[in-house]
Amino acid sequence: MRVAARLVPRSPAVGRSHGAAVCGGGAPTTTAAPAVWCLDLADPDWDLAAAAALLDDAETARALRAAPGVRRRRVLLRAGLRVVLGRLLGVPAGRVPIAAEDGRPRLAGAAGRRGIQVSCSASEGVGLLAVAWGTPVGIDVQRHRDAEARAALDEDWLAPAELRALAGLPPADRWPAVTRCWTQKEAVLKGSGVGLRRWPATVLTPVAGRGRSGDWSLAPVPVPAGWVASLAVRSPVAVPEGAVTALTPGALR
Amino acid sequence: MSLGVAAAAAVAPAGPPTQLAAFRARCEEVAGTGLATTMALHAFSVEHYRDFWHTFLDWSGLAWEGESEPVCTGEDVRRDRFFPGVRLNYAENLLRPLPDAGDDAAALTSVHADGSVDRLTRGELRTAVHRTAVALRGLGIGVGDRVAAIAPNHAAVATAALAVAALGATLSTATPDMGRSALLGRFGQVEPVAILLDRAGMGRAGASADDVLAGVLAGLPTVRHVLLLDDGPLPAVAGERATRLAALVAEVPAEPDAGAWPRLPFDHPLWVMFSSGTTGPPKAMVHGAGGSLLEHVKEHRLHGDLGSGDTLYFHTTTAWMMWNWQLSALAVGAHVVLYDGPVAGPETLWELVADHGVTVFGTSPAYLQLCQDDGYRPREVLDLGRLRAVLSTGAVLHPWQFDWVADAVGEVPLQSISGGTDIVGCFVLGHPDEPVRRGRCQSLGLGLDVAALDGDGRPVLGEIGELVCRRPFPSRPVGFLADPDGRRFQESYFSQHPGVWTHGDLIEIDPDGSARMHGRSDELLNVDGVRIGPAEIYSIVRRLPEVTGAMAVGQRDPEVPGGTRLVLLVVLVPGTRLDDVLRQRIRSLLRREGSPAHVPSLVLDVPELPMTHNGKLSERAARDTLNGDPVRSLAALKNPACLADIAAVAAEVATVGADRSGAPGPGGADRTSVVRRAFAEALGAAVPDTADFFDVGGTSRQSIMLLRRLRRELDRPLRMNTFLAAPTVTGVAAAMAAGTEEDSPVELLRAGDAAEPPLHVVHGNFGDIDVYRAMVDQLDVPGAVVGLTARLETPSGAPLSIVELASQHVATVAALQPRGPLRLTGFSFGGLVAFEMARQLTAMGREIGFLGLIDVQPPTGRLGPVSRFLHQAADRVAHLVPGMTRYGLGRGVVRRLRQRRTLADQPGARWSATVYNAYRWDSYPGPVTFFRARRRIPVFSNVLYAWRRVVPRMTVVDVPGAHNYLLDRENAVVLAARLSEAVRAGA
Repeated sequence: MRVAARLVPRSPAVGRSHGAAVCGGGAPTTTAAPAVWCLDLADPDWDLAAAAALLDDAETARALRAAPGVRRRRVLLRAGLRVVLGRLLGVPAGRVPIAAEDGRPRLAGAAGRRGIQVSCSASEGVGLLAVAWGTPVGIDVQRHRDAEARAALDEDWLAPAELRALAGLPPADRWPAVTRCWTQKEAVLKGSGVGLRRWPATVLTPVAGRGRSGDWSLAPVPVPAGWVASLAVRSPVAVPEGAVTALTPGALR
Repeated sequence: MSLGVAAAAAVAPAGPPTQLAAFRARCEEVAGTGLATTMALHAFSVEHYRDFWHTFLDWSGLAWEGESEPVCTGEDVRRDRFFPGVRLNYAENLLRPLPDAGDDAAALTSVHADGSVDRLTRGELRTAVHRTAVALRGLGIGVGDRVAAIAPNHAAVATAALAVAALGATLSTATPDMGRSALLGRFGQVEPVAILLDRAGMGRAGASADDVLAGVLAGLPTVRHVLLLDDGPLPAVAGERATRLAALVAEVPAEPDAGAWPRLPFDHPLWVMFSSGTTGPPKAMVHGAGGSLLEHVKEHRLHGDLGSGDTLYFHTTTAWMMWNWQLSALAVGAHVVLYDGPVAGPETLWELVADHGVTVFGTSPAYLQLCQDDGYRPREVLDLGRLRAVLSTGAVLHPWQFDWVADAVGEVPLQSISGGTDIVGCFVLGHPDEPVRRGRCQSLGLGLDVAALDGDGRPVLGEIGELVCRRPFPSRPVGFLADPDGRRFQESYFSQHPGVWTHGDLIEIDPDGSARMHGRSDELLNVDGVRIGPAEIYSIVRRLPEVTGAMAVGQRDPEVPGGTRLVLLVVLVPGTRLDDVLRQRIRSLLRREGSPAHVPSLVLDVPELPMTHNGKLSERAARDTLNGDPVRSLAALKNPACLADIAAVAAEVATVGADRSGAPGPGGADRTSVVRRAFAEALGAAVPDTADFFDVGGTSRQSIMLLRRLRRELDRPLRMNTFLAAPTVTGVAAAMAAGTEEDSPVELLRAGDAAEPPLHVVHGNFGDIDVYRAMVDQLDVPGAVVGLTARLETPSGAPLSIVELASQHVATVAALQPRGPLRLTGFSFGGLVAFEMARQLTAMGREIGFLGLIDVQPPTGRLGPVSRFLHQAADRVAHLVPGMTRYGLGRGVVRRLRQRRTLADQPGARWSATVYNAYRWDSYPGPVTFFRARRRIPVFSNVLYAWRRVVPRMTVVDVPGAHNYLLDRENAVVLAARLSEAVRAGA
């Protein structure tokens, strides 16, 4: 069972694209699906101490100053990212050079220059990691609640066109669609490296699982029922369908 | 007539000429001048109303006899009468064969609740009406008698109604579900000799239909005949008086040769209609046959372009004047669809439209909203191919409903029309040639001298005012029943503004003749001196998905004698509770979208809102209930029981004091506690003052909520950059207290290609870049878009000049972008700063790749005395001309209030006008693109000559909108496109 979580590139497409990025450094001719991992942060089997041991000083400090629930999330998500990147780069997880801005991690040093892009997100027990080759990537997951989605109509982060499109959906679809809009906006904002410094209403989403937002191609990410997640890749072509690999507590061992 | 058609065809070869085009040609002959524009034709129709109505009577081809002179007996709106020498018969005019609608043409299609359909051709209908008239005459009913009808909207009652009119008797109609007191309130004044009765839907729990009938008959001693339209057993309570109308008609020969229908004087009473008055029983208005017919035919042909090829369905009951209005469509040869069933869901009426090939569909804002809320999209499930227009009336149509129709129904005009029972017609209507402006009625009714008057009785444009009609018009009621000296008639319409008809509605009119209705003027709320239309509050609150209905009521303030406090009644979606969070959201929304005066003192959750039989909300009934006054015109309500619930909720709140919080913002006294509360609200729990928002579990979305909340509470922007720098209670409180933005005055508005120079957008006259949000959203430029913000004064409070502000930005921009061309733009104040920046940067040896000035007025310090005078005059004129200023009367006041608040918080802005006009510009040799507001006062504000003196290389691009709302979302699209083009062209 632990074997299932082995961290290897999941498809030939990913492998090729990775190779191309390493060799040529140019933009890949086709867009590979970014690799996506999902963590069940609520799983009691996680070895928090082992995970914390993988973090660097800055990450540890950032984790320590957080409230307990937030701390667990930060430790596990960052440790997971280190494990994933460590396998891809062939270095120990604890030695992966990660820098962060506003809490958003990126690969530093030579590894970063090789075009590997990362993005992380977590919401109430579900964590996601995305790794892309040669194209900026953003991922976002959000626990969905109808009431919170309804409140969004009063929060001004949806553009009028989006509000109109949402109003046209049947009520049963409308509120999950609001949450999806948010995850798509967040994914684009994270991918573009500005985060909330850019007003989310200016990121126009298609009000559909797949579609485009400006330069960005959007795709849904399969997550447990009750959550909604989206992936954004800066690419002229649609993001290919890609599976999500479970990253289980065994990965730390 | 053929001449007119030919002329119109020559003018407008694109489509088939409208009836209006033909009529306009005729008016141009009469006027001896061109009347090409909508406003020119309207001006002719009111300034020369005699010529207008005379020409229309002639052109319309209606059947009449006698003399068409004089057109009107004088100039007095109240007393003078139209066409005293003309005699006609209403029914004859509806049913006579028309050149393009002969006897075989469809006349009525009556769709019943059970799905069955009755159809009548024009020939069949005329015969049926004729035989019914003969039958009624057999009962002794004739000229001068009054007949009441209680029936749903179907062909049987329409036929009987036309028979009554054919005989020259007078008709008054109501619906069976109205209840005894409502029916008596109406018909008690009519003193009818007969009642046409269909009992479908009559009676309710505890009182059978015949019980209601017994009560009605007991109150109407004049009734000699109860003529049944339904198939039920003869009502015992009516005794001998009850007969089946069909049985009487069956006795009439198939082709009776009884004489022609009498042509009677123009003002002969056709209908008695009702409108609830502020005191006493409903006003029983008598409408004349000629005025009603002429007005309806005018509206249908000229404004609706309705004709023999059309099928009209207007959703109405017999208790509403729209029933009479739609019936008159027979006079123009249209096919009329009637429906007596319930509206079971959003699909009901659209299916009717599709099934019967309706070309013009009339409905209400409430029904359109029901469809929108339900996510129903008729165009996706139905064939609406024949539909060419949707009309709406009965309440204010909200702007978003225009979007919904465009999106979910299709590319048909949504025509918001409004008038009233009092004139049995409309003051504002659709128009075949004018575009539909979102949220607005297209045009003023021809021949109706409609104006909006301000509080001092002066006509205003672009502001909310009292709707008046200043010149005589034919569909003015002939008078009231039970008003022998005419005093009540006088008081109802002529007491407020002597000599003109005051309708009691609020209206805002643009110079293009388009208008927006703002509800009833007696429901205008006056809160702390700010006048607020109830519709305004409703359209804001309605955005909250929890709220399905809302009504704003001005209640006598129990704590401030003579004062009024605003009480908001809300109806929530089932399962939603009005808790403190929702209350706060309602208040916040009203404060943000409206003003502090829009924030209710009290929010009450009620199960239902009082509504009249016509489906209109009755603010008055709610107000009386809240004030503890006796409710006047209780009989006009469909659901009077809801008032008890409202009273109970209000009493409970008064006892428990559940909601007397008001909404006072902090006066700067304790910012930390406000910030602390906002943190706790966003995070769902109180946190230590030094805890990092994200460390305690705050999410990005919660951070947005927090910033919005703080911005509202403290009326001051907190930028995301500032927040991220110190996301703690202490940090935020310190940043807001300092009122400074110690961090970078550069805000990334939009990421872009790093290889391209960013476009710098320079702050507005409050130092922030918020005004640009909508435009930036639409920009299509290759590089990033960066906002430059500033404090407008030094720490000691001295204002910074344009030159000083520009130098600060030049330092920032030059450091951030040490090489390459720079791109700058700004609107108004920001444009002047951008201009000075360009001068300074050029002096430094930097290249300016693009300088875009968005409607930047020259500073008056640089104008000669004459120019300055003209410029300032233009400013003042702009406030009088609609469309040149952003807000109407209510909003204008609100805006001033808001500005005062902002000024108090942010002293820098106080200086901006002085600073602006003190700027002494000098020449700039580089290329400049000047985006000029297309809507401006001609000549006065032609500012370009002044600019050209300092900018020899200027390209002018016209953009839609007036100065003050160039950056609004609706105009920003085009502005952003032009700006993007210009940036790319310069690259």
